[in-house]
Amino acid sequence: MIRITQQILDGMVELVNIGVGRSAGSLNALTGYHVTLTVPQITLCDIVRLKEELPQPDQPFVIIHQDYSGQFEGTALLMFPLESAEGLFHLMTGEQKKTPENEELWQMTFTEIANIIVNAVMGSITNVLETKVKFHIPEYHEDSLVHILTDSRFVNEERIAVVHTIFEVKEKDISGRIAVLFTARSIEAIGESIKDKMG
Amino acid sequence: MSCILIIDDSVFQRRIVSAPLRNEGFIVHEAVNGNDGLEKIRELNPDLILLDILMPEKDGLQVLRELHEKGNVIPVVMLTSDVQDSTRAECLSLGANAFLNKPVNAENLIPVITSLLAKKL
Repeated sequence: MIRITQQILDGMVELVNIGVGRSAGSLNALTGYHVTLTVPQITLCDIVRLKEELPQPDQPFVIIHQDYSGQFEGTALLMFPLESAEGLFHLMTGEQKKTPENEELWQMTFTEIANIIVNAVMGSITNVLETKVKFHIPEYHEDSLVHILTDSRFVNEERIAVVHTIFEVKEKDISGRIAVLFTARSIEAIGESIKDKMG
Repeated sequence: MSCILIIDDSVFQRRIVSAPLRNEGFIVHEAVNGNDGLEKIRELNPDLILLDILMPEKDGLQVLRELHEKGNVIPVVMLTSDVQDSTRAECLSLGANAFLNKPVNAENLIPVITSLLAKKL
């Protein structure tokens, strides 16, 4: 087992930062509006403590999570407060709000946005590390983050790393969060790759 | 006018891709997964295929592999969120003619399509 040093954690944040930058470009292309990002923050803990660290864990969100596996594994989450989700849906489809008739379009819009953003983040990381991961089908939820994390297949992981950032389309008052969860095995694999890259 | 088949499980994605193609005068058909796509390829014999990768039942790589094994001559444009260099390389080695990342806009997509259709003629 390698020791997870600050250098490795800084490297992981920088990798996610590169990926999030690409995903902001994708979101800009999708919406036609400028997207601003906060500097990604990393948290190293177990899921129980993570629930205490993340903001508004009990509030309902539109959450899309997409698992990935391969040399490293984990899950990526895209989260929108409900008002932001409605604003983004209107921007993307022209539909005024979610109705029983457009429920499928609503869910597909958000799963596709998540797919594009998660792939941009994770694909950028694997390209830098010259490796590959397999993406699984994204899953849509309207739920609190606490429930999603409690039901996660990573709930029993003793140690995970979560890199978390907030993005905003200020002109339309839309904001959301991207969180990428890495398992302990993945932190080690990425740590090894970062060390190799740094020579 | 040329017939284009979009194979993508996302109704959102099919909607935003098909609209500009129809505006350009293309005849657009849609398939909702890989199996549906292969069936519609047999049925319609399209001039060009736009193929997503991550789909339930049968994914785009499986479709591409099957087409490749059967000696496919229809141009295939991969239209995917997957930005990994390894995925791009795999698709091109399996006979894809172009690899575009989502989100794609009409300004990027239509020149690729018209260029491939012109080569086919």
